This record gives sequence, structure tokens and C-alpha cells, in this order.
Amino acid sequence: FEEFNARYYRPPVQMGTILPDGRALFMYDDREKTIESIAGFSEKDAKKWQEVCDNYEEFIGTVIIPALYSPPSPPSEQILVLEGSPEGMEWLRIMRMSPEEVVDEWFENDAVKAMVLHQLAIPRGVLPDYTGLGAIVPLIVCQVEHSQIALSGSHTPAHAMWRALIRAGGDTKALAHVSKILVEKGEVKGVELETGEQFFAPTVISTIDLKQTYLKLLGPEHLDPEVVTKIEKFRLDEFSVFGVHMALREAPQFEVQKGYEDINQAFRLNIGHDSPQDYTEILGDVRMGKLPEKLAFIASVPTVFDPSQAPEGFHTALIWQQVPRKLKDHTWEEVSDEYMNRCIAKWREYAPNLTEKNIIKAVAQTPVDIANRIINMAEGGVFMGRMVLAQMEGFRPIPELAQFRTPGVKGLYIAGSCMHPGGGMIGGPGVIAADIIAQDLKIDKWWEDEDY
Amino acid sequence: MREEYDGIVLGGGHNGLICGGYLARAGLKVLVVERHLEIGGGLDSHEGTRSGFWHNVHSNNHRGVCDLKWYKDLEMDKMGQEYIRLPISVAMLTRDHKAIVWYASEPEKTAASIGRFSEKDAKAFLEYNEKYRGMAGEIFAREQTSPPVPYEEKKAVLEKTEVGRQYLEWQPKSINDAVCEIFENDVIRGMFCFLSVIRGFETDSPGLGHIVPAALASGVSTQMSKGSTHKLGHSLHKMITLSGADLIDGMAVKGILMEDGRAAGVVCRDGRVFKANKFVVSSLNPTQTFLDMVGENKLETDFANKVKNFKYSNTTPLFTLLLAQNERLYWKAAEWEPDVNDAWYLIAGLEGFGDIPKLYEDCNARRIPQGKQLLGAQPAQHDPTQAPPGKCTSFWWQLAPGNLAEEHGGPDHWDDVREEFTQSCVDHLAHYAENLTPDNIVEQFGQTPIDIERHLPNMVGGDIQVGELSEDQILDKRPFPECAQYRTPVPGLYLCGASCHPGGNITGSPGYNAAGIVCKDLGMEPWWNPPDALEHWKSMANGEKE
Repeated sequence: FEEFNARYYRPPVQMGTILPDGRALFMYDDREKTIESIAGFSEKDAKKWQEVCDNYEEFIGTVIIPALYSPPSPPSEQILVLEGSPEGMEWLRIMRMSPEEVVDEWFENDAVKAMVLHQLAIPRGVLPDYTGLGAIVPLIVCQVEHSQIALSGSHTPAHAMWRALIRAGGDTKALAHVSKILVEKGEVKGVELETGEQFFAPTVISTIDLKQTYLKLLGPEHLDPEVVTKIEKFRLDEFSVFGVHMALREAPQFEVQKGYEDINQAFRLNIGHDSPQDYTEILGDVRMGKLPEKLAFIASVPTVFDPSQAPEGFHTALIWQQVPRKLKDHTWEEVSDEYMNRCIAKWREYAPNLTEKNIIKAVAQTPVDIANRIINMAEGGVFMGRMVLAQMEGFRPIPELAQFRTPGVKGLYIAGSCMHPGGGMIGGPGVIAADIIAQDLKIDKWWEDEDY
Repeated sequence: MREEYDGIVLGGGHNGLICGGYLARAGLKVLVVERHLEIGGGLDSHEGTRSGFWHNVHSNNHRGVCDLKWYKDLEMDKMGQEYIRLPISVAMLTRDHKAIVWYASEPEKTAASIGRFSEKDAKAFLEYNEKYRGMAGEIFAREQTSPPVPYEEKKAVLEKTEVGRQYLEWQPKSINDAVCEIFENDVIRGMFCFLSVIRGFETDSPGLGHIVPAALASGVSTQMSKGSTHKLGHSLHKMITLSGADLIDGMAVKGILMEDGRAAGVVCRDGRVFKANKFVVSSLNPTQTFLDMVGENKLETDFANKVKNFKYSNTTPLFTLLLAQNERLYWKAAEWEPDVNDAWYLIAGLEGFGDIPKLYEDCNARRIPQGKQLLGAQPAQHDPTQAPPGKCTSFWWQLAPGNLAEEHGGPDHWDDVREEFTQSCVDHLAHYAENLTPDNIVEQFGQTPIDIERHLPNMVGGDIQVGELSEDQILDKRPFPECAQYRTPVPGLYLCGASCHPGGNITGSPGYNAAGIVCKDLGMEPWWNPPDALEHWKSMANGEKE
């Protein structure tokens, strides 16, 4: 993709939490500096952090990450490997916990706990109380994945992928809405557009969400009734995201105590989540279908790292606040402007220059806007299916479809974020689907497997 | 991606892409650098109101584009590009709900429509339509799609043919004078003159008179890109990708790298340098290219002054009302003439020729025009893929200068009056429509003329022609005589944008012509047939002699 102008930058200050007292806690690309920052809050937690890295870094890098790019293995396989050793047993134990329970067991300081939990929902779709996903905590602590910004904006990698596709001999058709997957005698034949136009192919890969692919485009009559029931019961994300996008005259400047100035260079900002309790409060509202009273969100100022994303001297900024997909008592249209202003005001508490005068324009993006624009993110669920243990790995989206093939319909594959390893800009479902299809078509792969 | 190329193209609008595509397919290593995330420049469409409503915020009607050489040479059909041709080009609606209708290729029907206003003008229309077809096709169209021929040479050869003499007879006049000479009725005069105004010609400037008989004879080949205007941008993106050229998007060029007095590459805004061993082609305007990118200190004083004196027009910028509608609009004038409901362009508010000088006066004084003469269309009426099922989109242009004079609030004043002006356009249009009610409007937004410059900085003050199309700045004098052949006084540096002949709009001609010149200068045999109007006219002259 670099041949096609995709470029990424990894900011040295990966993440920063700003606290009401003007202190800040950081995760750096450089682990030693992260630990130093944690030590400023708790010596004990700093030590534990190092210990977790020592214990799990290699295992995560060689086993867990490659598994994200491989077809899911049977549930027993991992256990068989792990149960033979005390370390393995410990991994299995923390796996059975919720992320919240693991941070509680490992760390004493609220800000440290909150910083870890901040990286669950975005980018992983996981909530702090999801039992059975405790092993995400060492993944976050070891930082084997990094936060990166696409230079020139997120759309640039999309263009690069598009050009790679075209140069590889692929083709695209835009503003074409597929309304039907064509099937004959248990074999896929192609697709039909809303306009009635048909395209024929012996292989069809859907990256649309589960329900639309099978219930709307294919039709339940082509599937086993039990599979249909499971698809109908597939659970959407528990939350959505309320976005605020701003065009600014100057970058927000945080007011911090001396020694914490790095907050103005932090890529991913945590504003408002000071302790695990804050997540509980917000989730309470989200689950009740209420607009969260408490404001706590992810924020970022991309132009600090990539000035090309705004005119010379100007800036852009974004806020992502966790919200319910649907509000019980209101429409999104009714509340969106006021809620946007509340979110901005919350940021202003920490960065006083985020004034009305500084903001050239601010726009809100509600869950409805997400669903309207990207229709596979039904109801604004950006992970295209809840990231709970019962819907992950070999169970994602349902066991019968977890190998990307469609039982009963030869040639039809599913490869979107509803598949293992889930949503987020990681490409896992696409890579795995390509592997499986190459295998089925008996094509020699020109690419190499993940090495594990 | 490499660090060194044979050549670099500045700007990924349609002219830059066409130029780059030809040269890459000639075997050269080409890089195109575009400041925007999307490429295509004015080939821009977005869901500015609501998802599913695609608004073509700059260009819309790509007149006759499928018939152009580059479209065929670069295999745009194979890139998936499709066009919809529309049988009715324009309907001008009057305040009392009558209408004149101009059909794309049915002159008899157009004449009948004109005849309801003036029998004499109907006759004149038919007469000119027939008499000037040869001039329109062989002289005017040929000239528009070839590098300009120096005037004296042109004159010498055109004098030898009948159609050439027709051209020479009309050329010295202004469009206004030509229209008034041909037609008597004020409404008819208004419509024909206004269509030239909208095409960006300065209708009060001498030297453009031939455009009137040429337009009457050739009609308007109205075409819209199926699947939105940006679809052509996508098709060009495919073309340039398959041509082997590299593309950097989302990155502005800060300067042209000069080595030994020669254009030798570009410096990007983020500091990266890309070298061009053979040529640099700029699709930006002369001000940007020479003053911002090359630098005034590297230019001869005389030339620098010419660049500084290059004129941008205040009578081409547009305010655009964009509507997302629950249903298409129907026109009250349909009772008088049912065909208005099938027309592409609609003119609403121009009562006659007399409105045009008033409009020009306001524009040239750089103030917001008093009157309203909207011209627009409903793209999704003709191409349902551009809106959700059953819904519709429309755009309405009002000529208005972007660079408002300081005493009229300055350019940024547009931000203050945006909402108010948008609403005033809606109210104005409602008079002509059966169903432009608040219920029908899903959403509306106004794009001010200064927004055009903000998005496409080569269009100074929103000048969509990127330089006035007046006597001193057309043909072999565009942008200045020194650069009229797409070459510049800076060795290795070429121009390929709308500031060159034949000017703005989606014609592709500046890019197409520049590619031929670059290829020639490199001593390469082009793989296509670069046009040569002079040769064509010479062979016509010889034919007539025999």
C-alpha cells in the first residue's frame, strides 16, 4: 500500500489521560517512559506493569496477534496447549475474568486502571464488564498493537487500497446497491443490483453485515432453519459512538501542572474517565437507552501530528463519546446539537482556549448518521456485532459460519467485521477470507501466511 | 513510489489527470500530486445534506464529453464511465409562466418554441442553425480542441474558405452585439446571451462574436455523468492508476524545485522532494504556478508583471443553492409547454436581455447582485442513482462575485449572509415551481462563490474559468502569448490547466493539448494523434481550391 501513497505515523506519546487536578498520565511508544509516568502515580503499579510485560509480551506477539489473522481454531485447542503449565493456567484464569476484574486485581491506582480500560471499547468493541475477555488487559499493557495515524487523513489508505485493487486487475462499481445474491441449486451465481442489473461470478464474498447478507440478500430459504434462527438472534453492539468533528483556528491547549506538558502531544486523549467507576456510570445510562449524563470520551487533534489535514496553521479535532444506539425518549436529531455543545464544554474545562471563537465549525455525527452512511453498521453499531465471548473467535458470528463459508451455498463467503477477529481497522476478516477462498479454489497463494 | 520521475503533474483535476495519463501511456514515469483527498478537482460530488443524496457541487453538464478524443483515447468507457444524454437542453421560464425550450438536436422544435415569442426570431434561429454548421464544426469546435493557432496564420488560412470567412466575419463582435444582431425579441436575446454568460464568456468583450452563430448551429450536447459527477473523477482515477502513473493525494505542493534555471521537481508541503528529470506540468493557475511555486525572484520582471496582471473574472463565480428534495419539482410553465418538465437546465428569473448588463454591473462592482437569475437542474430526476428511491436533488446557480469589495463586506461577508441568501434563492425559485414547499425540502444548503475558491484555490474569487475569457485572454493570448502553447519561459515547465486555451469547464482540452506539446518537445512519437487545427484548415483550403 505504500506504493500507492498510504503512509502511517506512530506518535511517540500514544495516549494521555488528563486529570481534574492538572496532572496527566501517559502511555508512550517507549515503554520505559510509560512506566516512569505510571510510577508518578503508583510505584507498585509501575512495577506490576513491567512484570505483566515480562510475562506476556512474547506470548501475545507470537500467539495472540497471529491468531487475529488466522481462521479461528477450535475452542479446545488453546486450552489443551495452555493447561499443561502454571503460566498457561494463569492465562486461562485471567481469560475467564472481565477486563475490569483484571485491572482491579493487578493495579491499585484509579487513573492507571482507567487508562487501561480506555482502550477496550474503541478500538476493540469490548466493555469493562464483559466476562471471559480479561486477557485483553495484558494485550493493552504490552502494547503490541500501536496507535497510528494515516498521513493525509484516513481516506488516504482507502485510496491506496483502491488503487492496489485496480492495478491488480480488479474493478469497482460505485453507487451500485446490491439487492440480491443469486443462487441456483445450492451454488452462488452472482449478484443483482437494485436497478435489476446482474453480474455473474462463481464466487461471491459479502463484507456486508450478517443479517443483511443472509436474511435480505440471500434469503433465509437457502439456509438451514436453525442457522436462520441463530442469525436472527445475533446480537448487535451494545453501544454506539457520538462523534463531534471540529475545524479550529488553534489546537486545544491543556492547562496542566508543570511536568505534564506532553498532554498536548498525546495522540489519543482520555478526557473524563478518571476511574473505573466512570465507565460504570456511562454504561448504566447506555444500557438504559439514556444519553450519558457523565461526559467522558476519546478525543484527538490529528493535525498536531499531520498538519496536512488542515489549512496552514489551522487544526481539526474530534470527540467520540460512548452512547446508546437508540435513545428511549428522544430522537438523535432532538438532542444532537445540545449534546455536542456539552461535549465541547467538557473539553474546554481542561483546555480553556477551546472557545467559540476558536471553533470555525463543529458538526455532530450521531449513531443514525453512521447507520445511514454505512448501512452495514446497523443502528450505528460500528463493530457489526457485539464483541462478547459468545460471539467471538470460533463462535463469530455463529459457529456454522465461523469458517467464512456458507453451509448449503457453495461459493458464497462472508468476510466483514461480523467475522473473526471483528471490527476495527485491522483487515483480519479480509485476510482470512482470502486465505480460505484461495484454499477452496486451489489457487497458489502469492502471499505468505502469518508466521506463528 | 519513487523519488525520481520523468515528469510530475501538479494538480489532479481532470486536466492534470488527462495530461498525466497520456504521458504515462507514452512510457514515461509520471507522478501526479493533488492537494485534496479526492481527486478530480471540480469533478466533485458529496453527500452534503443527507446520506444517499449526491450533490454535484461544482460541475454538472459535461457537454459533448463522450465525443472528445481523449475520452476515446484513454478508454473512458472501459473504465466504467457512462453518460446520460438529454434531449432537452434548456427551458427558460418566465415570470408569467411561459417558456422557451431549446432542444438538443431538434432545431425545428426549438424554432417552434421561439416562434411563440417571435416569428422572426424563429426564422433567424433556423437560418443560423443551418448556415453555420460547417463553421461550428470545422472551425470553432476544431479550435476549441486544438492548441491555439497564432492569429495571423489563422486569418491567412481562414480567409481561403467560406466557413473560415464566416468565422472571421463574426469574431470581432461581442457576444452581446452578435445576439442582438440576430434576434429582435428581448426574451429570446436574453436566453441566448445568458447561456454564454453561464459558460463563462465575458459577453460584453469584443473578439468572441463567432461563439453565437457556432452555438446556434451546433446546439448543446447536454450530458451528465451517470452515478454523479464524481464518477468521472473515479473513472479518471482508474485510468491514471492503470496508466502506470503514481499518485500522491492529500498533499499540496509547496514549490517547484529549480535547478540550473530549470524546473526539476516539486517540494511538497511536508518537505518531501520529488524530482522530475524531463518536465513539470502545472494545472494550477499562473499566479500559483509562477509566483507561489517558482518564485518571483526567478522570473524576468516583464514576465512577472504579466503574471501579476492576469485577470480573474468577477462575472463567472457562482452562488449555488443545493436542495435535497422529497420529490422532483414540477414547473408552472408546463401548462404553457409540457416539455419544460423534462428539460435539463432551467432558467428562472431572467426576464430579458436587459437583466444582463445590470447583473454585470453588480458583479464588476463586486457586490451581491440585486436581482435573481437562477440557472439549475435536477440531476436525480434524470439519474435516479443520485438520490434515494423516489427522492430528488437539485442545484441552482446565481452569478455572484466571490471577492466582495471591502465596502460591501469583503469576501468573508458571504459567511454572514449564506443562510439568508440561500433562503432568498428558495423563495425566488418557489414562484416558478408547483411544489417547492417546505414539506418537499429534506435539506438545503448554500455554497458561496468564495467557497469555490476555498475548495479549489486556482479559481480565484470563485472564477470558474480560472482567468477571464475576454479578448485579451483567449486563444493564442491565453493566459499570455508566451504561454499560449502550454510552454512557459521556465525551461522544463508547462501549463495544462483551465488558465490555458480553451479555458474552464470539463473539456479536458488544456490537458490533452499540453500532453501533445510535452511529447513533441521530448522528441517522442506520440501514441495518439495530437490535433493540429492549422493543418486541418490548410487541407480544407486546398480542397476548396481544387
